[in-house]
Amino acid sequence: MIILCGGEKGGSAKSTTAINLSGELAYLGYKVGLLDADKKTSAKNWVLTRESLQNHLKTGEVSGVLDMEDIKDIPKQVMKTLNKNGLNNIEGKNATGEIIDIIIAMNKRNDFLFIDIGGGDTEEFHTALGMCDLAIIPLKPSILDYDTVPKLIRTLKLSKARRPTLKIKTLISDAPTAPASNVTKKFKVALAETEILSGVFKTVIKNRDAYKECLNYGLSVRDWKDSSAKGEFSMLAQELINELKGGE
Amino acid sequence: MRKSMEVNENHDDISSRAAVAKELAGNATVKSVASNTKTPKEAKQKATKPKIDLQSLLDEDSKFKKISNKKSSYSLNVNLYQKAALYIVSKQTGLTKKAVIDQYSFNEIVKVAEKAGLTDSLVKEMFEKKLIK
Repeated sequence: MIILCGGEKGGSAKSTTAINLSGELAYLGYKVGLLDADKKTSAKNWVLTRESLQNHLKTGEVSGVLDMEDIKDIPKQVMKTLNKNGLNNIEGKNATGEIIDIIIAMNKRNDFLFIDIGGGDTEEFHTALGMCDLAIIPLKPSILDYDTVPKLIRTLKLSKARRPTLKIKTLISDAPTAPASNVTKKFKVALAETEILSGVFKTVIKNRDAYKECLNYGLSVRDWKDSSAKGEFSMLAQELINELKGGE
Repeated sequence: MRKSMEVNENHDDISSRAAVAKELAGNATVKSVASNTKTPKEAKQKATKPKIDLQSLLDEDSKFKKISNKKSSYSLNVNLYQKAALYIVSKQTGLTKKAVIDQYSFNEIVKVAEKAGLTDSLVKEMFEKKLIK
C-alpha cells in the first residue's frame, strides 16, 4: 500500500504525519517503508536518528547521529520501555526527481510505504499522486493553509481525472487543543464545500509538544510518553487501515 | 510480522500507475534534479553559521538593515535583507526563488534564513559579493 503525505503548503505536518503513522504501523507489526521525497529531508534525518538509537539499544554503543548527551535527554520512562521492547524497524530512503523506481522497489518490500513530499507544486507530488493508493493531505485549520486550497484542488483534480480510483483524505493537523475552540469545526465545513477535499479523517491531530519532542530522538509518539498524542495516531492508523480495506 | 494487506482488487496495477505518474509529473511547476543519496551518519544537521563573521565590522549603511525601506527593483518590492533571506532559503531548500515565494510568506522566509544565520552584516557581505543586487 502506497500512502502519500503531501500538499501545497509547507509546515502543515506532512512529515509529522508520515513519521508517526510509520511508527504506529511498525508497532502494529507491519513492514513499513518511509520515502523522504522532500528536499528538507526531515524524514530522512529522523530515520538516521532512529537507526542511531536502535544501534545504542542493541549494543550499548553510541554511534551515528545521536551522541551520549542526546541519549541522556530521553525521558527515563521512555528509555525504560525502549530497553524492554526495542524499537521497530522502518526502512528509510530519500530521493527526489525521478522517484518511480524507488517507490516500486520499496512498495515490494513493505506492507505500507509512506511518501513524505515537501510543500509546493513539485514533480514529486504529482508523481506520487500517480503512484499512491491513498493521498493524505494534512491541512492546518488556518486561513494560511486554506489559501493554498484552490491550487491544491487543481492538482488533485488533474490526478483524479487520470486515476479515478485514487483515494484522497484530508487530515486536520495542528488543531487547537482547547475543547471550546470551534476553529476545526468551521474548517471542516469549509472543506466540505470543496468536494475533492471533503473526505476528512475523523481523527484530528492537535498541536502538542510531543510531536516535536519525540522527533529529536528518532522516535514516534507511539514510543513517547504523551498518551493523548499516542491515542490520536493510534486512531488515525485504524482509520487508515479501514479506508484502505475499502471503507469498512 | 503481520501478513501483508491485500490490495483492493479495483486498484490499477503498479506498472500502469507508473505510466500515469510519469505523465502527471509533467504538470508540476517545480521541477527537481534527481538525487538519491545517503547522508553519512556523521552529517548530523546542526544550526549553520555564516562562514565569515562580519559582526565586528561597522555597519554604517542602513540599507542592509532588516527595517530598511530602501526597495530596489527585483520584479518584487523587497529590500536587500529580504532578498538575502530569499537567496538563503532557496539554496537551503533547493527550490527556485519563485517556488519559495509561492510557498512561503516573506515573514516565514526571513525567519528561516535568520535561523540559518542571516544578519545585517551577512547581507552586506552577500551584496558585496554580488550574490544579491
